[in-house]
Amino acid sequence: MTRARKAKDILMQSITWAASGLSAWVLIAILVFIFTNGWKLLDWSVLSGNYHARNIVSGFVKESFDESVFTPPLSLSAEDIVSVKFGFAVRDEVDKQKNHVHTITWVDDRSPLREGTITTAGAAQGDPAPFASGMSVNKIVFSDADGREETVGRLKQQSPREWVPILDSRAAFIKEFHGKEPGGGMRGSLLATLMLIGLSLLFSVPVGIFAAVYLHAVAKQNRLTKFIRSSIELLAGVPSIIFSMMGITLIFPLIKIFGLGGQSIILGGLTMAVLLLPVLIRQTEEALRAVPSSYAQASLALGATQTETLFRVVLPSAKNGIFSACLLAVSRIVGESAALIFTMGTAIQDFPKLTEGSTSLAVQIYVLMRGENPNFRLASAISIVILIMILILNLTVKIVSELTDRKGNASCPPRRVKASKAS
Amino acid sequence: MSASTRQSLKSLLTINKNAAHSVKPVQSLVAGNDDIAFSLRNVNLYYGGFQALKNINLDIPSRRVTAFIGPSGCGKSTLLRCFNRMNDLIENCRVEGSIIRNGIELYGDSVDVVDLRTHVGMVFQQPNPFPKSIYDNVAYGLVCQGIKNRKVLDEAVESSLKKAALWDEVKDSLRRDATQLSGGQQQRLCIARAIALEPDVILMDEPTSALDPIATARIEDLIAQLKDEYTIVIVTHSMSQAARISDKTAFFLLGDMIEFGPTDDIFQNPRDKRTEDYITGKFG
Repeated sequence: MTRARKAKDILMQSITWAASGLSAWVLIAILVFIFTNGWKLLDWSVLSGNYHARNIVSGFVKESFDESVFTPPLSLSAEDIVSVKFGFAVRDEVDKQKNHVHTITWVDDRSPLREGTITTAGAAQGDPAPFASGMSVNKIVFSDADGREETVGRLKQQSPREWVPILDSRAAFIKEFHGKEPGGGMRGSLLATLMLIGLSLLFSVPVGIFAAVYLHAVAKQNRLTKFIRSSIELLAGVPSIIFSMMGITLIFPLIKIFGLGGQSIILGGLTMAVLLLPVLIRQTEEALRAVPSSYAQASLALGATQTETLFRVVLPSAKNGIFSACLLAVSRIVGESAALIFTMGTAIQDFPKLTEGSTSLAVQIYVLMRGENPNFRLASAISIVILIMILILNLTVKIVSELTDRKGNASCPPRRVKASKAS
Repeated sequence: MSASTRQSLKSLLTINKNAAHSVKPVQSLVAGNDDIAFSLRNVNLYYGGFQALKNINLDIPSRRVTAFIGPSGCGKSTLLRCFNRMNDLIENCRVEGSIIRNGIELYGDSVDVVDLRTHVGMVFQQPNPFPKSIYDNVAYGLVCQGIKNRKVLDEAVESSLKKAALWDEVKDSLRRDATQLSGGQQQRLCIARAIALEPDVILMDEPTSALDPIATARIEDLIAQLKDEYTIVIVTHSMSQAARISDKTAFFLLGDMIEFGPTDDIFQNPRDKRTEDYITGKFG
């Protein structure tokens, strides 16, 4: 072999190696990026917390507090500034939405600040106001022993190191507390995503299964069937943003008849259902095709009608495949954003309702990243959640199909070596 | 799996409108004759342009075992599938001539195919239990007929499994998945499943070709027990099997029925040279 041939071999080999390595590298890069940005942020409070921070203004009716000295727990660090008089500690930090905040890190059970009631007008007025770790302090209004009112806090451009000692030394009692509950959570989007999954499957799975049964077993193979089949193929290739447009132009007037106006999870679910149909029909038909024809023959030979054969033998035998198709549909919903932007809107809701617009997890990422000040950390944390969901779904599909295969093998005894022709 | 059974599920489940049966009603002499289960006169069968059966004339005796032998592609399975009209499911399949059963033209317009198949059971080459429990497999045909009474089903399952000589092996595990049974047990389950409908006829399409010798022997014993009660028509590739279990044997070659007669005669002094050549192993 000449050196030129050898060199060419090595070159071609390294190209194939590099090409296949590229995809692995891209996956690793995505994972590294997302996990370094989002992993630290991801905890229970992010999963279950509100996105929108609620402002709390609490008032205090008591004219004076019992004089007491609180002892902070040893777990606090040097950054936590402790008010021994009122039993709490705050820390200067940057929150999930990248704002500068004074976060409460410790509240004693007997802290007088827990006794406030909400003073802002509204349904919650008069309710006990929350005062707990995780909230942030905007300002505190207090009176000193002579009855003079004074305000301290972040809104007075003071750091905790400055305002906490002032509070401890001068305040006789506290009149008002202005704070904020923590935000930057994804609970609303998580719930909306679950609702969306439920709704989409509710609409699309029955239609998909029956359509697949029709195409597979009932329809005659003529031009109409061919047309329907190729329409389904084409539908699978339509970009999802176009489904979104179809949702607002076609489905919206339809559900308006039932009194549902505007963007809503229902509209999003219906749109997703249409988007999922081609996938579901194709996968279900595939599953039906995998059912051995000997089952159908046996059923027909036992005097079952064709419909009975379909629904009693063929469909049940394909149930694992159909279940996998549904799981794949779920992962499609979890990852979809474009089809939902017009139909469900881009307003993040902490308490999503079926009849109101909301964001799915993927759309929340879009909302977080589109502004001038993109929130990479929270977006990455949500990405981790999405990736984990999809990983679980894919693993389940794999396990189910493996179980089906094993069962399939068990049901087929070793074939005769010599296959006979028609006899 | 033979070519005729290899068609896709699709074609099985599609109503075959093309299967036109040009039937010449024949006032058969054997109508109402209890000794004849099927009386065939001038039966021709075509798959599209291909003629698979040529002018078959045959009387299948009741409560006897009739064996169809012949090399691959001779049309013996095709003929078997005429008796429960499973050929209807094959596109472009056309039957001419007359098959009389209990005085009724089998391919006549008045025949309810679904009903026919409950009277003429079938056992296939590959054991094909449904991926359901043993109980549900046996009860399947009855459940399809709308029988819901638990007691009736229980009794039918038990007596069918007993007749199929499977009861003792599975009576404690009726809820087990039928696909976990051994091949021989599966085939006996398929026989029990057919018996549950109380048919008069059981068609068997090479029922032991996928089984080992011990399982085969058990099926053959079972056939010997069943023949007092049922008309059995069996297609087999094994000439020794045909000789062991059948009362009458028909030899087919390329769509023609060459010879039909008592099994002993066929095997000991065949009238046709071709039959002799086949059973002595000169071809096939």
